[in-house]
Amino acid sequence: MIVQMIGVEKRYGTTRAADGINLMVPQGSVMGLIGPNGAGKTTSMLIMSSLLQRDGGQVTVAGYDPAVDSGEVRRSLGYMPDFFGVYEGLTSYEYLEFFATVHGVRSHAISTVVRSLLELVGLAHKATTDVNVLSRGMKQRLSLARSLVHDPDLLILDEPASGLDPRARFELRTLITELSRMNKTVVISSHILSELEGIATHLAVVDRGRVMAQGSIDEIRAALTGVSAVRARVPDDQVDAAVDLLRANPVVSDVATERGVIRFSLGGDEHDSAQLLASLVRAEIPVFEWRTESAGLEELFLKITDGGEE
Amino acid sequence: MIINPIARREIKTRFRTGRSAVTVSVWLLMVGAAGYLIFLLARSLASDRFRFSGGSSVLASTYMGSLMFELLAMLLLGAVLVVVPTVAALAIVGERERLTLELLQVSQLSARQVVLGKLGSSLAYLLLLVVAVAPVLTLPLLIGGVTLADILVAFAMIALTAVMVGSVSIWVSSAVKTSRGAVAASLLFVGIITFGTLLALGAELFAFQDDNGQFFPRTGREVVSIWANPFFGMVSAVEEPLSIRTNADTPFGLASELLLRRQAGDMSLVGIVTEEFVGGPVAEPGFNELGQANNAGVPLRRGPVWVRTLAIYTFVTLLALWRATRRIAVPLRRV
Repeated sequence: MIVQMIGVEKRYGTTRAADGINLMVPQGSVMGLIGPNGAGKTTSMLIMSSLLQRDGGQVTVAGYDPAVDSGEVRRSLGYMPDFFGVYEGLTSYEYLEFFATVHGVRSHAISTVVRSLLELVGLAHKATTDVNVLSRGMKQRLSLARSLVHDPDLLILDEPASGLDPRARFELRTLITELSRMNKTVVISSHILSELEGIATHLAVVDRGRVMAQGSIDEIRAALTGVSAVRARVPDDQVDAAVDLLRANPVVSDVATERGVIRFSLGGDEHDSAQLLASLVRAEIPVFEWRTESAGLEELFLKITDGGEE
Repeated sequence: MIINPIARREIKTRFRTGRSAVTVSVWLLMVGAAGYLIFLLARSLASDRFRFSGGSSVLASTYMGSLMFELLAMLLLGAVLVVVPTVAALAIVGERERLTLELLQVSQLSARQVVLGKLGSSLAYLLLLVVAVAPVLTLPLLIGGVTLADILVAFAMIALTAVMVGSVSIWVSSAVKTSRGAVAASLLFVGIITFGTLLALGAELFAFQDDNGQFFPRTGREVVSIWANPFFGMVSAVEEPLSIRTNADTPFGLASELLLRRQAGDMSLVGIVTEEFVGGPVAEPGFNELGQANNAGVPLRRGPVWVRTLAIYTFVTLLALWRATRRIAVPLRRV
């Protein structure tokens, strides 16, 4: 695990921003932190980036405690906050050059590093352009390049897609996927779940200062979807017979029909699903379609966070 | 040469703008005009003052050179007291407002390097302004009455003041949330050490006058309120030990009279150049051949003011830089 947070607490006055956060980030993963605004995502990221002091719990990042060995932690991670810090009067090249210097990149290597990063984020043609006149999407990509200047193993990206248009979001997603291929570990937060779908290999759902669920996306799905939604299509004149057969099975509930389509909840696994299908076939009911519908991230998220409502 | 990366970036971006070129040009014009006006004023005063001197042009030019030097030094000190806090107060709060402070905090730079870089870039701007006016400031050297040592000592005290005010402004900048608030608080601090200490001086003299209304007893008395005043610190550095170059009716002369009283108390031991002594080049008791007070015989009852100023400013500088560093260092403590 490149990041381990165990029982981490952080209070702002009487507000508990982190209320015993437990988070494990595997090396090489793309960990998506999802949760509503104020859930504790940014607080967690600031603590692991050594920018915020925790009140309790244990944290290690790349084997170091951010509160004790902040220098080592900062060497290992690249942090991209949810805003773009602008220095007036600097070109894109100078901007990255400055941050390469303050991140301790050796002076003879800076030029190569900066040029290759501009190439990576697709801004080589904007090297001499003032950063202030770049579009928001370009600024985000430049910001991502900035967090990479010292070639860290871990990237912490706080709401990187916030405020971007669809094209810029797509470009950013492509870039993060590319970074993942380069064996970087990425921790990325978002409250736009569709942003994480497709790029995150792991998820942690954060709500009210706690991690409500975490693991690979499949693990979370499996843990949360003890009940799957199944859609079956049979001939119109066979719907009633099919429904009777399904209702007779104890793993089936919430059966509903609409123009030859039957939807129901399956309280079992893939084997139960296969046996149900076999029973319909044995009853000589033609089955045109049989599909188990997985819950999307949106659904998972709502399920998890609703579960915490008191 | 290794230059702090923050200072290097700020110097580069600040000086490449058109605004800097305009500022330096306007500053040069202002100092040039002020220098010329001071020259005219000094020449006029010297002419009036030494009209009965039997054509002693040496005496007149000495007075004129002294007056020019003192007024230009005060002008430069005034510029420092306005420019440095205005620039330095934006150092940290500006990073916060631009949302770039976190980016520096998460870098390999230590908080101390950030603070020193900010101080360096703030002072670099001042250095440019000083270098730009160096030719004007050397004019009194050519006229006379001032030595190179006088000029260098005055510059050193101005530089010390700049570092101290800059450090305090950066501390303020790390503690205040808005740029406007930081500049206002920094200028307030400057107001306190300049005008505030003068008010305190008035109160001090008034409070400790004797029954006859004399501010100073014959044994002299310490004047605490001027220790932190940048003007008195500069005058003391140039004038103390009190030997020569004391002219009563120049800005430094007025201040050094107070320094004399603080040291000696018994004014009969010392001489202040007045009309009655400037009649000729013959040295009077207590004066050199140029008519300047020769106070070498004044016993030093206490250390010069500039030593106290130096100690106070050094302490305040170190305290301010330490506090500023603490404020921007993260994490603040161990778990």
